[in-house]
Amino acid sequence: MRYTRTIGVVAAAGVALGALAGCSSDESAATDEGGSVELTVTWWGNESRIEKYEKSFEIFEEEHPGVEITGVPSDYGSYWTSRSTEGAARELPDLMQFDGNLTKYAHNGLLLDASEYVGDTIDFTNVDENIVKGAQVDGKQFGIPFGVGGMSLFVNKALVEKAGVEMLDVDYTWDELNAWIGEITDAGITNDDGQPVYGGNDHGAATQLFYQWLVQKGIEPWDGETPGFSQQDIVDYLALEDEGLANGAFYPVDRTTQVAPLDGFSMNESASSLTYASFYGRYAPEVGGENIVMLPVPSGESGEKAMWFGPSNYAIGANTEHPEEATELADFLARDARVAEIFGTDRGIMVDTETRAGFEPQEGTGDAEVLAYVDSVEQYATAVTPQTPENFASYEAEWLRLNEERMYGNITAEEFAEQWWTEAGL
Amino acid sequence: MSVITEKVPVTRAASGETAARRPVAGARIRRRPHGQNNRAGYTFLLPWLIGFIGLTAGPMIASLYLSFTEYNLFSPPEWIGLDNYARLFADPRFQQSAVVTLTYVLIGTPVKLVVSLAVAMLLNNNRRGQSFYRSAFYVPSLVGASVAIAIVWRAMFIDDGVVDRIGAFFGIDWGGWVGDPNYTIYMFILLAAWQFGAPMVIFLAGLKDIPAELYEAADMDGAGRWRKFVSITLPTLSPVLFFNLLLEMINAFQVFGSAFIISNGSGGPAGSTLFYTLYLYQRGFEDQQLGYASALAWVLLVVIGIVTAIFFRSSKMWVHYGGDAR
Repeated sequence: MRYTRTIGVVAAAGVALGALAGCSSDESAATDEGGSVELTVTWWGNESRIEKYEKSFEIFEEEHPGVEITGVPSDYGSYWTSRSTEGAARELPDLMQFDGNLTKYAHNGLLLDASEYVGDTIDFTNVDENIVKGAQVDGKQFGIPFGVGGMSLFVNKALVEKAGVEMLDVDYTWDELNAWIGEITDAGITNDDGQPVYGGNDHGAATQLFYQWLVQKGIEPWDGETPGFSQQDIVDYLALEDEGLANGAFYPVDRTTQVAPLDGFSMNESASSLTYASFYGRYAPEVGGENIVMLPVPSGESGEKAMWFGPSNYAIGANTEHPEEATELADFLARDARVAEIFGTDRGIMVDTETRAGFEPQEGTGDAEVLAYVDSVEQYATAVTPQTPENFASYEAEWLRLNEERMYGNITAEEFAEQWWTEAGL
Repeated sequence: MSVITEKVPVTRAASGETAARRPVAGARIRRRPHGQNNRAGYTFLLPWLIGFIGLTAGPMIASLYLSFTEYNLFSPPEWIGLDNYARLFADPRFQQSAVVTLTYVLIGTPVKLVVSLAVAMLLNNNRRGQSFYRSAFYVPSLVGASVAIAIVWRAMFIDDGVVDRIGAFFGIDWGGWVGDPNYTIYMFILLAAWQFGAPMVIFLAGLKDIPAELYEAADMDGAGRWRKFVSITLPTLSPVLFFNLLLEMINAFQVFGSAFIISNGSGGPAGSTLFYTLYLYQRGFEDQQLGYASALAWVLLVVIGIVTAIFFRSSKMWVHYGGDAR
C-alpha cells in the first residue's frame, strides 16, 4: 500500500506541476482581456540591429499601451535551427524575419496568411506591386516586405589604381570581369599589410549569382519545385571561371577559410567582391567608404543585366494569439518613417516609396551611398524576383559546400553539377 | 527471523512470481519484508528511472522508429522502411564523414593515451608540489571543450599563427592548418591530446596501485627502465589501460563541440572536418531530414557497440587483472 501511496504522491506532484504550467498559460490569456498583449519578435543580424529594434519597439509600445514586445536576436547560423524546432512544436514567435524559407514554412501551415489584414492593419498603398507579390506564396500574403536588396560588384578603387589596371566599364560582361580579375592578380601588388592582392573572388559563393546569370539568358530558375535550368547550365556557368582557376587569379580558398567570417575584400586583399549590395555597411569600415565603388552586376551575352531587387520579409507565426497586433507591428516595422530613420538601409532599401522619399541619410552611415547605388542601377532592374523553391536553404548550403570542394580542386564542374542535382533529388 | 528475511530475497529474485503464487504456509509473512525492500528501492530509484525512461530510453526508441521514416519536423513522419539505411551506401558525404571520424579515432585515441600515460608517469613520484602539478595538468580538460578554446585553437593554426611560426623556425613551411584540408584533422587530434586530464588521473591512480616490490625485485635482477616499463608497468596497468582506451574511443567517435565551433558547423574546409556527429546534426537540424539523421545515429550506435564488443573479446588476451591465476 505504501508503494501506491508513493505513486499517488508523485502523481499529485505531477498534477500540481501541470497545474502550475497551466496557470502560466492561462494567466497570459486572462490578462489578454485586461489589455496586455505580449509579442515576441525574432531576427538575425549583427549587434547593432539589437539596439535598432529595441528603439523601434519602444516607439510602438508607447503608441500602443498594453502591448509588450520581447525581442529575441540571433545569429544567422542558428536562426533556422531554432525556428524549425519551434515550428515542430507550433510555438513560433509572433513576428519573424524571413528569407527564402518563406515558401517552406508557408507550405507547412506554420505561418499566418495576412491577406485579410492588408488594407486593415497593413497598408501597401505606397509599396510596389511586384514587391508585394514577391512576398506572396501561392497568391497568399504570408510575407510582409520590409526592405529590398540586390547584388553589386564592390571595387576597391585604391587597389585597382595601385595595380595600374583600368576601372571596369559599367556595361562589362562576365568574361571581361574574369579577365580584369586576372590582370589585377597578375600585377602582383601587395596591400599595406604586405599581403598579396588578388583581383576578386570566384562567383560560386552564392546561388543568387547563378540565378542572375540564368535570368540574363532568359531562363526562369524555378517554377515551383521544378528547375528551369539543366545540369549543363551549371557546368556552363562554372566554366566561366575555369581559366581564372587554372591561373590562380581568384582569391585563394584556403585564405577565405582562414579569414572567415571576414572576406578577402574586407581584408583589403581582394580588389573586388560580387555580392549583396547590403554588404556596404560591412565593407565600409574596413576598406574606407572613399575607396569603394559599387558597380551593377556583369551583363549577360545579350548585353542585358536583368537585375532584380528581392524583398526581405517579416512573417507571423500561425500560432500567434494576437494576429491583429502582430500584423500592425509588422506594418510599423516595415514602413514607419521613424523606424526607417533608425535602421537606415541596414535591412535593405525601404519598400514604402513615401517613407523612402522622406528619408534623409546620415553622414557616415553608408545609407547615402547604398541609396545612390540603387538609384543608379534602377535602369537595369528589368527582371522580376525569381521564385524560390521550398528547399531553397538546403540547395544553397549544398551549393556552397560543393563550391568549396571545387575551389580546393577536389571535384570538377561536371561532378559539382551531378552531385548538386542528386542531393537536390531532381 | 533475521535468517529468513535475509535468505528469501535470493530465492525470490529467481522466481518471484511463481513463488508468490505458491500457497506455502508463512509465505505471506516472508513476502512482506521482501516486497517492502523492493518498494523502497524502486521509490528511491524513481527520479532516475523517470529521467531514464523519459529522457533517454523514450527518445531512443522514438529515434529508432524515426529512422524508418521520412520526417521533416513539420509534417507527421511517413514510414519508408529501410530506405534511409539504403541511402547511406550511396551518400558520398556519409562516407566522407566516416573516414574523417575513423581517422580521428584511430590516430587521436592512441596519441591521447600515450600523452596521458607519459604525463601520469612523470607525475608519479613524491616531489614537492605534486598536487599542484596534477591540478595544473588537468586544467586543459576542464576548459578544452569550451567555445573560447576552440576559437583560440583556430587562431593558433592560421597563416602566420603560432604553429605556422614554430614550423617556420624549424624550416618547415606548412602554412595555416585551418585552411588546408590535409592538416585540419591533426589540429583536432592535437586538441584532443591536449585534453589528457581525465585519462591521466586514472592512469595515475593505476600507477600508484602497482606494488613497489615488483620494481624492487626487477632492480635486483638488474632490469633497466624500459624493461621495467614493458614487463611490469604495462601488464599491471592493463586493466586501467583497457578502461581508458574504451572510454576515449567512444568519446572520440562522438566528438562534436570543437568540430562545430572551429568550422562554424560546416565541416569544412572541403569536408575535411566533417565528423560523423556534425554530419548527423547538419542532416537533422539544417536539412530537417530527421529520419535520415536518426538512421545515421543508429548506425553510429551499432558501430560503437561492435567495436566495444571486439575490445572486450580481445581484452582476454592482453588485460591482466590482479590476482588472476593465469
